Amino acid sequence: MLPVKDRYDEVFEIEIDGWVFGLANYPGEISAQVLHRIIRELATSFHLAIEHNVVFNILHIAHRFSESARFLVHEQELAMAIVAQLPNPATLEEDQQLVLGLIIDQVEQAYPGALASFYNRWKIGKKAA
Amino acid sequence: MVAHVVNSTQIDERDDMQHIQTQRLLAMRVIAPPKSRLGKLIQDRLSQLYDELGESIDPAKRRELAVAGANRGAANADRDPLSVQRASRMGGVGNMGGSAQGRMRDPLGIVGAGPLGATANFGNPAIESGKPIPRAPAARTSAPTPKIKIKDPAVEQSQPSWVWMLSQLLQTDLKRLGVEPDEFDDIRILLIKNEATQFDKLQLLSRLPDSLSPDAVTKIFEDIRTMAAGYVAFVLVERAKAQAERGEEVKQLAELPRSVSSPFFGIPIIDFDPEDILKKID
Repeated sequence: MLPVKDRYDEVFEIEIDGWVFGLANYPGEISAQVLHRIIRELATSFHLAIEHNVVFNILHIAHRFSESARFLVHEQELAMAIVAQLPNPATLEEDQQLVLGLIIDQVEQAYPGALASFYNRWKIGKKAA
Repeated sequence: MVAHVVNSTQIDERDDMQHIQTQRLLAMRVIAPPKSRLGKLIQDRLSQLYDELGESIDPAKRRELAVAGANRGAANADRDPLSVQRASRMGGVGNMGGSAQGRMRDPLGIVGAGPLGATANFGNPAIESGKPIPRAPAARTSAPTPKIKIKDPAVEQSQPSWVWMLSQLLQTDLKRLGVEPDEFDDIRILLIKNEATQFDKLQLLSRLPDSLSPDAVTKIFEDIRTMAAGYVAFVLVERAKAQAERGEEVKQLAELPRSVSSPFFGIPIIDFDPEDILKKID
């Protein structure tokens, strides 16, 4: 396991806790659009977490988001949305590719086929780059 | 070759008939088929009104019909307390106000005749300006109608009204269909009533549904972000306090959560020279 840089795991945990707190305490109904917007906003944080060697648990994050949104959006949908925000492995260094692999592997085990569905996307992204 | 000579009177009559026909079609289009007693009542009155209008479209006659219709509506309301309750419910939920204020604007006289009869206050310039409104003489011969709660129009107007937005849209449609401006209000009210009934079923009448607002998601998102930022600030302060209590050196985290603290992080900065752009424009 690679060492975490700059204690970024703590930063990332606080960040996720903050969003979960906001979602759980929002008085109105949380729609799928709002959750997807939050996940898109977190894309930078996912990138930074991978850069800092933080192996975060996508399933756990998806479950917490779904729970705080009163389970109006299924956690599988959220997990896939988070995977969609992960960087293209082709753009990462070797260490970060390993971290990304560990992150995606958890999702792949829970939802077989997740990796395959994003593989083509990354392939296209690589060609474009 | 036969020349068809049409004099100006014939043209006027033909235009009038076309106009009435347009109105009739518009009215029929917006009123649901008479599945209920109320629906039949409305449709009967529509037919009656336009038959009468077919005989004469004199503005004075129209006003007379409007007052007569209002009186009929009031009389019906007196006879049918249940319908007034329904009208009250409608008025209470949607600020539609089933009242004498609406009677002046209700040529069909369906005020107080049920949920659809709760004629709206919207679109009335007098109400919008908050001025008192002259009331139509109501032919009350029986027990007085139970009072209907009406929201203060001034208060109502101070809030953004989806009904107003809807009426503006409908007005554009009516213009396109060639309806005269002085006929707008009558037809518009019918159209809005129809819309309002549908919204009433969904219990969304009192405000613009969030889902229809283009900024709804952004607003919710920013609210959640604000709460998240508050949480992050609280946690960081608590961490610092805990470190200080343990006698440790208070260390800040290397980074702050960017999605919370820096909303514009990640947007690429575009380098450009303004002079170049100005030269291109020239």
